[in-house]
Amino acid sequence: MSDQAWDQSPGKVGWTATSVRATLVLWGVSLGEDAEYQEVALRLSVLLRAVAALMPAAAADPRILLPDVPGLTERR
Amino acid sequence: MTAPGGEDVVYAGVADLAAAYRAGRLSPVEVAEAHLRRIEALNARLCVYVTPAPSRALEAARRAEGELRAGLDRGALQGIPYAVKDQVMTAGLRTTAGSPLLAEWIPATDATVVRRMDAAGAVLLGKLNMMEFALGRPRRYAYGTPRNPWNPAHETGGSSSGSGSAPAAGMATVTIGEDTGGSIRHPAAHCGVVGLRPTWGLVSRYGMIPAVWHMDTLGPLARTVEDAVHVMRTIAGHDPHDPMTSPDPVPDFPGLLAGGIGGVRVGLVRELLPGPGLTAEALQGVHQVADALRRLGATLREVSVPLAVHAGVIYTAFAEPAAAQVHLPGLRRAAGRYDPNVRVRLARGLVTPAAAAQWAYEVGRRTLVAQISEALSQCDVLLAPTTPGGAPRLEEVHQGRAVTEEDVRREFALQSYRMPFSFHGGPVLAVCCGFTADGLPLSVQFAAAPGRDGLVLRVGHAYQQVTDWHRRRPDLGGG
Repeated sequence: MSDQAWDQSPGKVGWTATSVRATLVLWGVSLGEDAEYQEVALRLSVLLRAVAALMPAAAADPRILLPDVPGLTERR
Repeated sequence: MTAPGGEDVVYAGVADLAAAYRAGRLSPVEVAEAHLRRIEALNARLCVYVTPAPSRALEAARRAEGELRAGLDRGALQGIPYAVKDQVMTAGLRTTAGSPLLAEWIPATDATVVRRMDAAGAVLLGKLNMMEFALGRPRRYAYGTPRNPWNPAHETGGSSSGSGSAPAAGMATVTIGEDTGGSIRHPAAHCGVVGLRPTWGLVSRYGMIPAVWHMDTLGPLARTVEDAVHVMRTIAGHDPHDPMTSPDPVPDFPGLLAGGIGGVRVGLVRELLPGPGLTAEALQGVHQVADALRRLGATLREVSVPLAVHAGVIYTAFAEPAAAQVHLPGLRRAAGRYDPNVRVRLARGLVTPAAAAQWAYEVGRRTLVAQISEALSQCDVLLAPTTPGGAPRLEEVHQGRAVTEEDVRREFALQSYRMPFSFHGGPVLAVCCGFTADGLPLSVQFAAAPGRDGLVLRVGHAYQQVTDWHRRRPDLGGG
């Protein structure tokens, strides 16, 4: 994923916060203030970026069983 | 009032108190009363206890005293004052888990650990302060902000906050805390006491409000390894109410302390020396411990756990969804009553994609466990700092401003020290190894393979025999 996709400009955080709110609605959970949804969105985006960056480092990653497959095994 | 060793009874160890009771030099009632006076004097300042239990304590102390007079000897913990983290159920005594949601809850039954301590004749002084539902630092503690006995302007660590500060402040001889990702070792380190995360499955969790049920572990905190061992021999062992407990016989913990550590192979974890944010003082503390162990006959080598510094990310990705499952009914019913920091973490758990959580649990965690197992194939015990330095000031950790990306990354990084060993499932012992220039405790942890609790306890005990950090006391004035 490109760095642009992780853009945390206010507009992007707002969009992610809306998606967080929508998912929580599906769980039947409401947080209240907009600022909390934005914090969840920020925390989630940092977490997912960190997980995505770590995935290639784990030896048990099943992609090590593959040759270089364009779009699948590329390492960032 | 002084114990036979010349120290105030509120700082006397289990063996000294037990000997004094049997010699008629002290009574369980007067020792319980001394502790209750101490709690009365200091609790408003330090917020150690959520619910002191003076009536229950005095009743138990009188029972212990009567039994000892009648020749009924239940062992070393008879008449010894103890306290438990408020995450652990106590019959007839409210159990809040540090949350206003449970402010009025009075369980009908005791947790297994409480039942076993009571059956040994120990005297329950009350319930100890903690971070809400053991889910990380709250924005505001519902029952008062715990303050570090060594300097009340600093935090205690957590989530077993009061379990660390009570023995340090002479407000209990021993305590029981709960460690999911480091919640026994963190307050033990910041408060300058010993904290053991036992092998997973050694101690029953029946009656304990879960944080992340497949990692939660109850264990002792105390001023000395020897005192912690007395608790372990009492609370460890199979419990039919907790099917995850091991059916194996309980080890002879006191016997395991003997014999020294000659020939023990100690591995220094390269990635944590230094790891994220480690201070020069903490690094020096670890090397001084290594030198002391070498003088005691241990051999040292460097080992590698490459994913240790990423343990916080891996943990968060699978643990928050696990915790959120437990709290979903509460969040649906009363999300607004959770602390905002806890609510936000649980919400992240609910929206973390399965791809991330599944990778973290099945791949990230397993890879890290494999790295620790590989390191432990080259040595017997791993040595690492418990925290990157002394306890931070309260205003540093309770920020009023909006969270930034850098804050989140720093939270992950600071989990590098205790979290990796929580994944592994083996015993980890935190021991005070000195003090900062500002007088705050520093700590190291010893980790070993599952089932080798006796080994980490023996190493910690040997270290305490040649150092005197555990004999230092905070200056709490006339309290």
